[in-house]
Amino acid sequence: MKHLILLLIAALLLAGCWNYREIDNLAIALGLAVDKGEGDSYIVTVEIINLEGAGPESEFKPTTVQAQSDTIFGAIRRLITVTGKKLYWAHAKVVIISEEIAREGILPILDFVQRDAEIRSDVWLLVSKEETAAEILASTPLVESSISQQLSQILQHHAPEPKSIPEELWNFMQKLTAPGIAPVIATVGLVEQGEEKLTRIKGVAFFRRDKMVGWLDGKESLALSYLLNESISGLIVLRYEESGLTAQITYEVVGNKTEFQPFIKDDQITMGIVTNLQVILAEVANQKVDFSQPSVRSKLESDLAEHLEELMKRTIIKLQQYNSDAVGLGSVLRRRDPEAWKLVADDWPAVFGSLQTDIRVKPVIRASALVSKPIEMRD
Amino acid sequence: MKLSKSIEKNLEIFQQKIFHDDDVIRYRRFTLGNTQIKCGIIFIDSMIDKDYLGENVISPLTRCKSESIHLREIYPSIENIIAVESLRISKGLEQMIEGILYGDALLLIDGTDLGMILSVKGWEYRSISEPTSESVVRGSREGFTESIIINISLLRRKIQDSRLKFKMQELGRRTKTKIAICYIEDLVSPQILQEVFERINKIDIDGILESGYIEELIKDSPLSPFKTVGHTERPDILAGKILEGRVGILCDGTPFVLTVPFIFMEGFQSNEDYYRNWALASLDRMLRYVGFFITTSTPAIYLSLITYHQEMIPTPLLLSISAAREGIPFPTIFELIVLGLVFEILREGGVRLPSPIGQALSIVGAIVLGDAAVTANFVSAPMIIVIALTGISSFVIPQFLGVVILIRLAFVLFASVLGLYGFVFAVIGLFIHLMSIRSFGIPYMTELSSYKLEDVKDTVIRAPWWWMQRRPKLITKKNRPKRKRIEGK
Repeated sequence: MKHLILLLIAALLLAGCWNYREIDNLAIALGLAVDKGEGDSYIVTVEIINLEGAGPESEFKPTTVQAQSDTIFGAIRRLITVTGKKLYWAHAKVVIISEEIAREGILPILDFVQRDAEIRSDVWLLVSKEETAAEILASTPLVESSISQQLSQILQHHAPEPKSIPEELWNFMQKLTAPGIAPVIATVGLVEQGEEKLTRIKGVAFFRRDKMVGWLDGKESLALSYLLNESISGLIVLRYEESGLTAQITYEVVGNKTEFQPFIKDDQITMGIVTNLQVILAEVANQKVDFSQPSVRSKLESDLAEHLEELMKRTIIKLQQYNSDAVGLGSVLRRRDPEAWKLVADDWPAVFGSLQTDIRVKPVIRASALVSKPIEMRD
Repeated sequence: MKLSKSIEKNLEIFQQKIFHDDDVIRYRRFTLGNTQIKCGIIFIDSMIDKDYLGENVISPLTRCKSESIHLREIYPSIENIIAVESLRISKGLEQMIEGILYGDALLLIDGTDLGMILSVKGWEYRSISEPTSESVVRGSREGFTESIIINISLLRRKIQDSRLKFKMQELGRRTKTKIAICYIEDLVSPQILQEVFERINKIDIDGILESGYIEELIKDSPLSPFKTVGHTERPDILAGKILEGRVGILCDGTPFVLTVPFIFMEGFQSNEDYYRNWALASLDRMLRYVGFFITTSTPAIYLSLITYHQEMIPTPLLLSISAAREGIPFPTIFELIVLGLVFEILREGGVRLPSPIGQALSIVGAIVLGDAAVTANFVSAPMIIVIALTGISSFVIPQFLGVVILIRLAFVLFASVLGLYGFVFAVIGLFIHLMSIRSFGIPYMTELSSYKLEDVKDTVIRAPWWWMQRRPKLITKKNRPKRKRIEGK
């Protein structure tokens, strides 16, 4: 019995985290923005929750604190001298990186984010389109109580309007370390509305290794997200013209499956890309367009195919200019034709830069929402 | 001491030696009809039915004619004169004293050293009423009373089987409390029954005032806070348990009847489960298990989440808890223990008070302590929610009301030093304890730790009656089928 008790006491000491901390002694950090300081230093801006008042009447007001140091962690520790409380990172939502740092390489920053035990690997990464990343944290949150939560909310609900590709830290790291695919990070900018500055997430920054090399705008990001099979929704607005009849047509994408097939002929790799889109007609601005006619429907489908093929082509060419394989064609080749991949693997960015692609979009109009016929007006 | 043949001397013995200084003993002298034979009756005032004694004993004896009395065999001859349904002729003084003390009347006749003990008991009973400790919506409304005789009749009326046996015993050297051990002969496990008798025979105490004395004296694992002897105030519950092969111990002077063996699962059962729709009853049972979990674990989990594992709380919740805790002067553990204590004080106060004052108490508790404490920033609002939830959930399992407080406190202490790890550690400890205790040879966690379909039919769920065909396995080893259809197999 004595031995048993001793064993039990020993078991108590074996594990467990002796990190007792009262909730009110923590400064809850919600967002991190990193900018370039003088010389080699970083300016770190953190959005923390500041509590005003006490007890039932207390309110939380987000506020930002800033510190400068040669390393991220150094700067964060220095913040304690300002806040008086240890920063608590488990609830951090976003890490915003300035363009300058992104272009220099973001791994030095991500090392801390990835290494720290508190920050979760599902924190969102963003690249600021403004001059500094700190500006973003200083903008006005619209629906949430803090700007970091606002950004996280936007990223979580981006699906119906996929004009960007949200990346969480773990996903970014995976793409960074995987062969044959380059990472992207969503970009965030500010829009002015009256006196307030609001954030908008649109477009992506694409990378070669950990260095940002270029931007994609909203439409190109949409094309990229279809190519990556990231998105199965989104709106595409096109102008319809047929024998003098014009109309703005809104297609709503409800399904997407993009397939890849590499072809090799005379040592020349051609990537066949087929995007199967399922769309519904969400808005037809001119009631004279009789979409119940098969001929009109096939015209609508071919319009859409033509538009998307052109858009995807343009996107891939843009990526090719910077040798950044954000579509992951290399990883497709590696899966489909490992032998061929072995020959080009070492030199893949250059090979990707001159890769032939054959893009085909096959849209199918599934439905026209609740109406089956154009509305006929009568007197 | 022995009686003599002289009535005067005998009465003297009682009056001067045995019952001296006792003013409630009555001595009635009269002569037997027209025979001039002196008689005396000794009884205790208010323990006998005076009308009955007068009409059926004294009146016929004083009016009888001398020819019907044989002087040689005086007692047998007056047996036909006295109209009392139970009487016995006794020689032993001990027996006579005991009879008088238990509400009998002792008839002494001049010329003999024998006495006749007449059963003329007639004291005031509390009438059968609805038990307050175990109220039901549907089910029998009668509850046991303080009289063991009435209690036995209540049980007999439920089970009219000659195999239902009552073994009467007396416990307590001074109180001489009557107890009855009841069981159904062919259902009870002989080992359990033997164990019950052995333990009861070992009891040596001067007074038994309530069945709780017996419970504590025959209980397994006396140091464990978990009860291993059940008790009930309702005849239908006792009948149900006896039909499952359990042993009941009725005790005079209390409406609480003990049942053994008592296993953990019984704490989550209610007699109403068996009277209601099985699906609804099963749902209720599951609620009780959930209630048990909530009442024991919520404070510990809350404590470990907000002092160790803040990352596990959703951000908006963390922010509001954090806002609520802003400016609270005490650490969470202190807040938790003090509030928990206050709740227990309120509860304990409410139980003992008459109900009108009890209501005032709960208003004071709710408004003054709850609302004002939060407004004054002594405690945080989420803590009030946790304590309230914990308190309310504990009322779902009245059988374990006391135990859960201890478990909760242990969990909280472990969680306060080690977080969730400590909580899980304490839970494991609790399970080791529960698994190790037994009630009259039956493992406490029987049927909850079984994988057999047959055994789980009356545990977390209550299977429909047509599906429950056997009695619990370990308690009734023999004669398990509940119905005739499968009895032949």
